[in-house]
Amino acid sequence: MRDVARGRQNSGVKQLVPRRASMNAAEVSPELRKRLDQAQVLRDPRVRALWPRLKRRQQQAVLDPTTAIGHRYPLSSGEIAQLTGMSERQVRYWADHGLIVHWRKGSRRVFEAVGLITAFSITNASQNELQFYRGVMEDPVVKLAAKVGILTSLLASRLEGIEPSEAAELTAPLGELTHR
Amino acid sequence: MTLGQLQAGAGDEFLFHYTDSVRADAIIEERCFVSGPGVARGFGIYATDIPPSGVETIEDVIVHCFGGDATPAEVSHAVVVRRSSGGLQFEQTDDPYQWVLPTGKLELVHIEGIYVATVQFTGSRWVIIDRD
Repeated sequence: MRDVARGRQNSGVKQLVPRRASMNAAEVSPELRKRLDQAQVLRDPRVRALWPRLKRRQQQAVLDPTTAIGHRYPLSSGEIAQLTGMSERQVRYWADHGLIVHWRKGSRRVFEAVGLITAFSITNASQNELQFYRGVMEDPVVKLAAKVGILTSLLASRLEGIEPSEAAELTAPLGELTHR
Repeated sequence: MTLGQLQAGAGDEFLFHYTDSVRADAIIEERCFVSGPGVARGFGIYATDIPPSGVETIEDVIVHCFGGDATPAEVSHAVVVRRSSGGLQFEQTDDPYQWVLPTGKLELVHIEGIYVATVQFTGSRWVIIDRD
């Protein structure tokens, strides 16, 4: 994690910030480090782009899972299933294929807010979209990269027909992918 | 300390560090502040005098403190801190909404005395979930 790595390089902290107890990155528990990594993914433009597409009740659940589950994050696979309506098996399937963001605590999959956002996005996808995702998930990386290339070319072509500001907003989550 | 008292002290006595659920948990459990990578106004712990007072607070914070570049899930918690305590003092930046406790390049800071409470936005209201 970038933040932790930078903190680790700083050896003169107490001189820089007198009268303030400092916490070395090495003192952060592995569990907290994994959770902070998830918090970093929450800021990823691709995840930010998912938020406006969630239904209001889904946004509410992300902000406050306590009302439905009875406790704060992190959540288990079963609790993600309970909140999204997916089966636990489906949650594990999409998580293990990288579409639901999570971290591992031993053998258990653990989910933060970013995990619930991505899980709701799967729930909101149509059957055709899910079928498409299942198809590309099985592709070798080379074939997947080729498909992404075709899709980005298609997107670039379609973007030529809309306002530049709108195009910029639409493609912000994709970064370099949409640049020709 | 009630939510009303925290709101009444906004700017004068208290400032508010808006963050996500994981970082809020880190602060609650470890009293460990995690400073962001942004250096526009120097490294440090950033806070604002915008109090958690209603549904519109989230939008205000995103616009005024994050330049519109955040989702509500990233700012769903407000960590209430004292404007100054002992040798620690938040300094107002050239942005009227932003205050900073300089930390050099430190990313993780454990601070005694400055933490007051943590407040969570539930989607419709703010509730205190932890007090010092």
